[in-house]
Amino acid sequence: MTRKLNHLPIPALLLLWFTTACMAAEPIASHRIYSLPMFEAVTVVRPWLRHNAFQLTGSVQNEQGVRLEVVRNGACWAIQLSPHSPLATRIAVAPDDPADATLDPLWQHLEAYTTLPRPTAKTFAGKAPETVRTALAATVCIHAEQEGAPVQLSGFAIDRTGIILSTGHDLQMDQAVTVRLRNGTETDGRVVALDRHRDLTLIQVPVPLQTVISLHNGRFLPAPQAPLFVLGCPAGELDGIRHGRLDGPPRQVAGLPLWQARMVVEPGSSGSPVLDGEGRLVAVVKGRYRGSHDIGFLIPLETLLFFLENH
Amino acid sequence: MKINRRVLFSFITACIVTCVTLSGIAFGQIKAGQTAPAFTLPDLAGQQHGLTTIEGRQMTVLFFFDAGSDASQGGLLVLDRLLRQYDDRQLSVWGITRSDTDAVRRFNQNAQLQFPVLLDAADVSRQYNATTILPVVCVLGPGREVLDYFQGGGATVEVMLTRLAERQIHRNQPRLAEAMAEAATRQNPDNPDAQAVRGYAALAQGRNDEARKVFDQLAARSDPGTLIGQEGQAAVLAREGQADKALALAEAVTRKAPQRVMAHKIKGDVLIGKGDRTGAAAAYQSAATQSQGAPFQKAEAFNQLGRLYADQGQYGEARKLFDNAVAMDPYYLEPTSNKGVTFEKEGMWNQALTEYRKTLALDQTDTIATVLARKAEQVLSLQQDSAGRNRMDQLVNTLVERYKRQQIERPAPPEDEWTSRPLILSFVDIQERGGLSSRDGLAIVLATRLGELLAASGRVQVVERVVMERLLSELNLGSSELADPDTALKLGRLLAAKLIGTGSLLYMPDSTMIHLRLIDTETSAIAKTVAHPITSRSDLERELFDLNRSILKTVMETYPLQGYIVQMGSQEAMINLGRNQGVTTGTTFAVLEPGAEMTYRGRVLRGAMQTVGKLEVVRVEPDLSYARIVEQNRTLARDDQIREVLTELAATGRTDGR
Repeated sequence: MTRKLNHLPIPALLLLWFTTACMAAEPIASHRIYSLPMFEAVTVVRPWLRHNAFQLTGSVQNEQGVRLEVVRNGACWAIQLSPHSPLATRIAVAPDDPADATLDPLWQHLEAYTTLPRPTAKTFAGKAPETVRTALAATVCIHAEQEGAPVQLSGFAIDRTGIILSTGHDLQMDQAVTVRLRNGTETDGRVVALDRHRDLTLIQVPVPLQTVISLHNGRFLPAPQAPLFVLGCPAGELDGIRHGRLDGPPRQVAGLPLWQARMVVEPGSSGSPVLDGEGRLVAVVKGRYRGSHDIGFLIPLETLLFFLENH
Repeated sequence: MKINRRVLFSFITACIVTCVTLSGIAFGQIKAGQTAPAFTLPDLAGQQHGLTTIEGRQMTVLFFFDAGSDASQGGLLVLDRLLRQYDDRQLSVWGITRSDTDAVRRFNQNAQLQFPVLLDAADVSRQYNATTILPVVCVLGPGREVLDYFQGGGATVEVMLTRLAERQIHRNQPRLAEAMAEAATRQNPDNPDAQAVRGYAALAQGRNDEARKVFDQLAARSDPGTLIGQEGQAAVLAREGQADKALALAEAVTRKAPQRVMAHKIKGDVLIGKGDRTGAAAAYQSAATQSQGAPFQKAEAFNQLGRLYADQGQYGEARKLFDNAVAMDPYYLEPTSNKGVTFEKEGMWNQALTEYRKTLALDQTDTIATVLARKAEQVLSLQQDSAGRNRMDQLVNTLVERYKRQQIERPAPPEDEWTSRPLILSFVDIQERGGLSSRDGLAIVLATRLGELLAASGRVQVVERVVMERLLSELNLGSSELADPDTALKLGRLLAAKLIGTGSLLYMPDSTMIHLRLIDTETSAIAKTVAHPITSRSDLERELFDLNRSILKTVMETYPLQGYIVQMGSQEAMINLGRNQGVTTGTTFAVLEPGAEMTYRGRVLRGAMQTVGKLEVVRVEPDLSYARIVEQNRTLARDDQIREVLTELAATGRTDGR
C-alpha cells in the first residue's frame, strides 16, 4: 500500500489525506432549507463550488439524496442535499462552524437564486392604453335574425379583405347579416364559416376594413390580476371599452377551455375582442353568467387559432 | 555581343513564369475555408506554443506584425485592449513576428501584451504569406479553419475589426461585438458596417431602443449607410412585432438595393409570421444568394430556409442548407443542432447524436443540445439492449392494439380508495404555432426535460418519452388529431396516466410563448394552465426549472398524498406511504377523522373531516414512512386517515408569477 502511495504525486496524496480526514471524523451538521427541488438545488450548488475554487473530492447518491465532499485551502466539508419536499431541499454542512464564514457566500447565492424577481404583469392605470384604444376601430356590430327575432352580436375585423370574427351562436351558415362599422356605415355580410362546437364564426363583408386586430401578436394566458379590456358593441352601441380580469381557474366545457372573467358583460357583447394592456388579443367574449352581469365567459385565443386553422 | 533573340525570349518568358508562380505561392496560399498550416513557435520567454494545442478554442487570431513599425502594430494593440476589457476564454490571440528579438522585447516592454508574442524563426510567416505586407491577420475557427484573412494596416484593420465584431454575434458575445465595432468606428467614424454591428449586437441583447437609435442615425445619412440603417430599422420593427411596417421598409430597401442580404431575410421572417411560407421561402432564397451583408446574416437566411424545408419533411435538402449556414458562420450553433433534429426525425439517431455533440462543442451549456443528446444516447442504448427493445416493442404493440380497438380499460377501483396511488403523468404532444423559430426541437426538449425534472421529484411518475413517441409514430396521428383534447385524453387513459400534459409553443417575433395544460384524465378538468414566455435572452434551463416547480406545486395542492396510520408507537407513527409515493423527510400530514353526523328529518348529514393531529415524517422507506407526532387532540391510532398538508416552506417553490 505504502509503495503504491509512493507513486502518487504530492497533491493527490494531500487530497487523499483530506478526504480520509473528512470521512474519518464527521462533525454534526446543522441544516438550511431552500425552496428548490433537490435536482435543481444540486445544479445550483455544484457549479458554485467549482467557480469558487472548491475541489470536489466526492459526489455520491445516497438514501438521503446527494452528498458532496469538497476541499479548499486545507479545509474540508461534507454537503448533504436531501429533499424536504418535492419543492424544497434541506442542505446540511459538516462541519458547520458558525465562526467559519467560508460557505456564507454559498448561502447568499442560494438566497439570491430563490428570490430572483420574476417579471410581473403591468397594472391597469384606470385608462385604456393607446394600443387598446387604437383597436376600437376594428370592432363592429352585427345584426341578424333568428327564427324571426332580431339578434345582435359584436365582432372585429381580422383581415383587411373584409373578414370579421365573432361568436357563432344565433347564426346559421350562409346567413345574411348586417354589419355596422365603427365609422357608422352599414354593409351587408354573410356567414362564411361556422363552428358550433367552438362557438365561432367568420363573416365576410364586401368592403375593405382599414383596422384589424392581429391574431399573430395574440397572448395565450394573461396573469390572473392583469387588466383585460373588452371592445365591442354591447346593447348595440360601439360606445367604448369595458375592463375586467380573469376570475377563477380555466374550465373545460365540452372538451374546450373556457375562462371565467370578472367584467361587465352586457347583452350584445358576445363576439367582443378581449385585449390585454399591451393591445394583444387574448380572447373573445362568449357570454355572461346567467344571473350576474359582471361575470363573463371568454373563448381563449388558443380556440380561435384552432378554428382559423380549420377555416 | 549578339544575343540570340529566341534565347532572350525564352529567358524572359521563364522569368515571368517563375515570378507568377512564386507570387502565386506567396499571395495565394491562405484562403477562407482551408485548414491553417500547423506550427510551433517560442515566445519571448522561450516557451513553445503549438497551434494544434488550441484547435478546440472557438476563435484564434494570428496577428503577424513588424515590431519596428508602428503602422503594423495598431490593430494588435486594439485587440489587446479589448481582450483586457472583455474576458473571453474561447478567443486566443497570438502576435507573430520575424523582427529582431531585441526589438520585439522593447516593443513588448512598452505594450505589455497579455497574449503571447511568438518569434518566427521557422518561416511560419512565409507559410501565411506574411512577409512583404504587414500586418497580416488570419482568423481561425474551430478545427483551424481559416475564416478570414486580412493583409495591410490602416483601412484593413478597420475591416478586420468590423468582421471580428460580426463574428461575435453568433459567438454569443454581443458586448465584445459592440466593443470591436466601436473600435472600428474610431478608426473610421463613417464605417456604416461597423455601426450596424453595434445595432445588431444591441438587438441580440434585447436592447431594441438602443438598436433603433443606431439604425436611425445610419438611416439619416446621405450615403450608402442609409440603406443599411433602414435595413436595421426594419429588423427592429420586425422584432417588436410591427410586421407591416417592417415588411414595407424591408421591401423598400430591396427595391433600391436588391443585393442587401438582411432586407430579404427580414422579409422572410415577417412573411413566416403571416403564414406565407412560399413568400418567406422566396425571400430567404434571395437573401442566401445576395452579396451585401455579413456572414452571420447570410447564415441566418440559410438556416431559416433549411427550417422551412425540414418543416415540410424535406430533410435531405434541409441538411444541405444547414451545412451552408455553418460554412458561412461556424459559430452559429442553430443549424448544426437543427441538422441533428432532421436526423432524429428520420430515426437516424447516431447521426443525430453526432450533430448534437458538435453543437455542444460550440457551447457546452446549451440546454437544447444537452437534452437532445441525452435522449439520443438513451434511444441508442435501448436499441443495443435487445431485451429492453423487445419489451418496448411489445408494450407499444399492445397499446396500439388497444387504442385501435378502443379498449381503454379503466382499472378496477382499488380495495383501498383513500390511499394515494403513484401519480402518473404523460406529455402527449406539444404543437408549434406562429412563426418559425430559428431553432428546431424546442417542443421535444420541453416534453423530455420537464418529464425528467418531474420524475426526479419522486412525486410524479412520467411516462417515458420514448414510449410516447413510439406510440404516436405507430398510431400515425396527425397534428390536428393530436391537438384534439379528446384524442389526448384517450391516449392518457391508454397509458393509465392520471394527468396528461398538452400544449403549444407560439413563436412570436420577440419571444416564444409556452402554453401548457395539464388535464385530469378521470374528470377531464383542466388541473393547470401555464403560459410562460421565453425570450432569446432567457436561460432555458432556468425557465424549465420554473415550469417544473409550477407544475409540482399544482400536483401537491390538487392531489395531496393520502394514507393511513399503520402502526402507532409512543413517539412515532408508521404510515403506509413511502418514497415510491413521493414522501420525503419533512412531509407533514394532518390526521383526520370524519366530522360528526346528525340526523335531520330522517336524513343523515355528515360534517367535514376534522383534524385531530399532525405528523411530520422523519424516516422514509420505499413503501412506508415513520413520522413524529407534532400535535394531537386525541390519542392517534392505527387506521387513522392522514392527508398531506403543504407547509409554507414545502410549498414555496416559486411559481412563474404570471
